[in-house]
Amino acid sequence: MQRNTQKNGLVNLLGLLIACLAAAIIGNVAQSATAAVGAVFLGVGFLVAAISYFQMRLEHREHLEQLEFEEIARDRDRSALFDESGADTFIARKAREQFERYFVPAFTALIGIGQGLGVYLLWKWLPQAPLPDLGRAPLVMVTFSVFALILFMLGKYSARLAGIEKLRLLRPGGAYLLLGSVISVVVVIAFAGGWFQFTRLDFNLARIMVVLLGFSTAENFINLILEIYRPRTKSKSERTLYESRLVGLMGQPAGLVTTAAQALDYQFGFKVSETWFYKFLERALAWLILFQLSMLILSTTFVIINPNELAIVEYFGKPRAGNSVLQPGLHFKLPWPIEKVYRHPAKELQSFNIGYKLNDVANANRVLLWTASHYDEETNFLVASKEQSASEDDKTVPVNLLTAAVPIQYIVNDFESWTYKHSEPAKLLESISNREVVRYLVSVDIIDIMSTGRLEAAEKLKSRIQAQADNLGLGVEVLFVGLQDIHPPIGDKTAPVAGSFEEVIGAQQEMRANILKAQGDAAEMVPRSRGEAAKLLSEAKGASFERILTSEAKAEQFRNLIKAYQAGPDVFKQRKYYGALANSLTNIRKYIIVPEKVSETFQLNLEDNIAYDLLGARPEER
Amino acid sequence: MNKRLITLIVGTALLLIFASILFIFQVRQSQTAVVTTFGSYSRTIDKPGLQFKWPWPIQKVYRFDNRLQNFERKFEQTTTGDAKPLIIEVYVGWKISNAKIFLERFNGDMIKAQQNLESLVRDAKNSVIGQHPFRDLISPREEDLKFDDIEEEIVEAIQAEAADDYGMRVEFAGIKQLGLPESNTQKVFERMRADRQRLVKQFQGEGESRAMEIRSKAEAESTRILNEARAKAIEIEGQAEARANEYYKVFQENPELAELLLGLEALEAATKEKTTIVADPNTPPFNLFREGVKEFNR
Repeated sequence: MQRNTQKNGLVNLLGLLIACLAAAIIGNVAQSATAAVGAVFLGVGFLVAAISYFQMRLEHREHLEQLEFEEIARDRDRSALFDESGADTFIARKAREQFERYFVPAFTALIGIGQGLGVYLLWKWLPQAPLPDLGRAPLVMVTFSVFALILFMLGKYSARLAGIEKLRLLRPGGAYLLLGSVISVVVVIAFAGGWFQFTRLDFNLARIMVVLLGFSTAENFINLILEIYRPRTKSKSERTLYESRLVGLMGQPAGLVTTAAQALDYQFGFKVSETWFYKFLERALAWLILFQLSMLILSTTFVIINPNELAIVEYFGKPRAGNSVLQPGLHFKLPWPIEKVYRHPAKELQSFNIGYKLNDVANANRVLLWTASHYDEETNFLVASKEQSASEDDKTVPVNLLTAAVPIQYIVNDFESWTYKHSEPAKLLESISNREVVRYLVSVDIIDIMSTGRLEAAEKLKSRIQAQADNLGLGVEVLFVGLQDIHPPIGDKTAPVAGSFEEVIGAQQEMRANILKAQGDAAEMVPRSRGEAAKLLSEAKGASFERILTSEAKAEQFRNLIKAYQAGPDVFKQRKYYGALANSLTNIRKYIIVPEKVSETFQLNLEDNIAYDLLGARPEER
Repeated sequence: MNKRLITLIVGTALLLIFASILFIFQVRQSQTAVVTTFGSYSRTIDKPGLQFKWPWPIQKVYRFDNRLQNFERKFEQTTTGDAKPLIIEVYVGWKISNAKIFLERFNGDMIKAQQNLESLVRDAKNSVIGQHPFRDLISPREEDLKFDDIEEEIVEAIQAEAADDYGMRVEFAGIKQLGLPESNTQKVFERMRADRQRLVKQFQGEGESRAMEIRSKAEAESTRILNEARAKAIEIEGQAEARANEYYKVFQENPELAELLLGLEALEAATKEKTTIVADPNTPPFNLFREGVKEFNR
């Protein structure tokens, strides 16, 4: 029977050690404050279990010694050879007594100091403790649920054994095991709380645990003080010094509940604790926990992929053979952690912009002018220049600057490549697209790209980016590459570049206007002179026609006059002469001088009468 | 008995799970793992699947991303072979080629690894760009450009060292962005503006000269048309004159009469307007006045 308890003590010891280490490691990995505080509790438990184990061994040795002594005593009755009976005989008992008198209080004091220090450090550390890593919540919850069960079984066994066999030394370790099981449940609750957005639950529970650790420390010291005044009796004390009543209470909330239930029973007058539901709960609690755990595992056997997503299934880290990529919809898989699913919104159209950043989306509706900045951040790209590279002795750098806005849209078409070939495929695609834009612009002329080369540029960029992406195995399809804005940089006040480009366009228009005007003038001038020429010709023709007709008529008239003349030449002459004279002299000024004597002199003023001339009127018209 | 059996089964299952957490680990498709035993290197696992290990603290597992990493730096100024300043941004694709060296050098710290790679890249970039003139990077003639070669050279410059010293394989390098320092940007702006203003003047001059050309051509054309018309008119007049002369031959039939008629015609034409005639009384018919005066005086 004695060996049996020792073995139990050892199991307790190891159980607490493993639980302590596991809580410390998982607490560290999953950043759980409750697990960290729990590790300190379990560490104290381990020390307590260790000292009880030693005490157990000592008691065992004492027991053996006792048996041996009794046998010797029986022999002595027979032989009566030795009659030595003194303190020296019971070495083991002495050792045990020494151990209990000096080592146990000292060790208890040390544990108390250690606990106190732990409380102090944990209290200081807690406010800056990180929030629990919920990504590891399933792992933590499963592990600690398992712990809770194992520790509960071990602890309950020790406690029952101690209760039945009156083995006081098994009790402290057992109590700590039960406490460990409660702590495990607390950790699970803290993570479940985190899962439901109560992120501070872990912190608050940890704080309560630290307070309880503080109480336990205080209890420890009170026990020590009481020990000094305890009446020394021969018999062994019922309770060891390092056994904490508080831990026993905390480790058995069931006991608390029973007490509370008994109080309720008393109040209500009937036995609540014997109702069907209470009995069921008490009996089926383990099963309920097991059921919940299996539901948790079951819930990891199917997965729903959203319409915009694709997912990859890994079987122990390897992409599942055959159909590793899951399309949107419901899919079944082996439970976690055998098969894991990694999802990504791969069906969604993704886009990024090169050359500009638009911070303020509300501003996107304004009019876009070359001379005013379109976006919040614009990149100046370097562009080659045919004219510039011709004269390369220039001191300044032989390039032009250009602002370009290139939005790019793509979708993932090979999800496995996208997932496994590159750590940041989206970022890489952005880099290579940027590179292709830069690469393209350094090889084209600024004027070409802004005018005729523009459409071609968008096409070329798209095919080049696609080629590069295929080359690197990004698993994407580039759907759209737009050159939605390509224009000279705005420049600054001293050199408004975009403005000067507009001036060139103005000058070009002016040139065209000049030419068109000249063409208009020319178009007017030539036909007009053609008209004039035609007029000239027709006048000439008319004149010649008239001349010919006139001369013909005159010739005819002359022929007729000849006849008249020949009939009476003198009369004809006279008639003609006087007719002409009458015709000629009718309307002109005439002076006819009839002198009396030949020697008379006449003075005539033949000046024109100015007034007469100015009026341009003739005397008879007046 | 039955209850104990269930407890036993559940207990065993839980124990198995716990043991598997301690003894087994997974390596993902995208991972390379290194196992160390008491701190010293044991093995590298680059195939995905389940792997065995002794529990912590005996063996420890370091997991690395075995995918291609994209590393890039912000703009940095450098100088080309022909002493032209340039701001350049380079990205580099690398992956872990030797996980053992990588673990030893950087203790598994990706950020530390990239910081070290950065110095290599900067050095290589500056020396490679320093060997090329500016036009190797920017030129309208595709055959002059050595853009792709420069990227290749940067990769070559860092590949060996990265592989041997860092356990990294540099797969590619690309020039993500090119720019000019602020002061040069200003100069380029000024030059671009001057260039445009030259064009403005050129267009203005061209417009004027073209207009002038068009106008003078048109003027020449109309002068030609008019002159041709005038010549034609003169010709027509001449022909008319010739025809008229044909008719005037009839005057030869009686030259005396012709002389009289022509004389009278001329006289009539000459005295048509603004003529003052001073006639003496011997001229008929004004001699009639004299006769009349003589009669009166008698």
